[in-house]
Amino acid sequence: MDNLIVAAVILLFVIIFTAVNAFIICGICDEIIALIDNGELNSALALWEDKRLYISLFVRDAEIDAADCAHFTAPNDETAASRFRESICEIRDTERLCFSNVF
Amino acid sequence: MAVIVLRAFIFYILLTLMMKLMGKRQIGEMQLSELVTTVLLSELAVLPITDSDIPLLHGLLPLLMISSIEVIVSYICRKSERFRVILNGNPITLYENGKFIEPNLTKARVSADDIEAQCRINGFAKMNEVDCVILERTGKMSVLPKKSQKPNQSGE
Repeated sequence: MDNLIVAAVILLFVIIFTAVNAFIICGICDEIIALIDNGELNSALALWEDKRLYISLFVRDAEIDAADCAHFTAPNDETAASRFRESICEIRDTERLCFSNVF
Repeated sequence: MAVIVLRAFIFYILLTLMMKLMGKRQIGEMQLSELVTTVLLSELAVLPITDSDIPLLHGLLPLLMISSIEVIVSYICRKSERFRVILNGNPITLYENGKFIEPNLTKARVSADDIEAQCRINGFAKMNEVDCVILERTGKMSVLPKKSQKPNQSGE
């Protein structure tokens, strides 16, 4: 019975933690995308730098590196914003719980 | 390299704790859900250990979830006969009263040769010494002797 209670608590924790975390990461990504769309690239970059460590705990290194490289390679590049936006979208879409991701 | 070593240690500790939580059945005779869980756990643990690109939590969280589900399923199986039958099936009688039960052999995908081999392993030289052979839920065969018979012991 003790093991059952421990297992139930662990299962509940995992489900809630995963759901909340996915929601948080999607929210952060949406905020960054909104800043980019409003032309506030520096604010978007600052927010990314601030949340990068947290996001890196749950997202593959390749996707994190893609977001980093998108703006580091060419700071004055006009396409940097769109590359950065695409990489953030990729992270958001990967974390989102939707039919296409599951299947 | 240090990352891989540290991850291996973390997963070793976690797997040991999860096996402890799931009980001795996991390392003894396994039923279907237990076998699935064991295979899944080992596969889940290996990926983050060998690929440092994968976050540690990508292995930890599924591992915790599957272990917990297994404990809960085991508890439900213990409490509900119907659920136990649905998940693990029923024992199947393969040989009884001197005859192989062909429909059950087909159902279990077992041949008469397999049954005879299992009887020999259990110390019975001939099938007429055996009362019945049952395929248990764990996949092992139980060979029950006729009341007048005893299996031949090694060295006798």
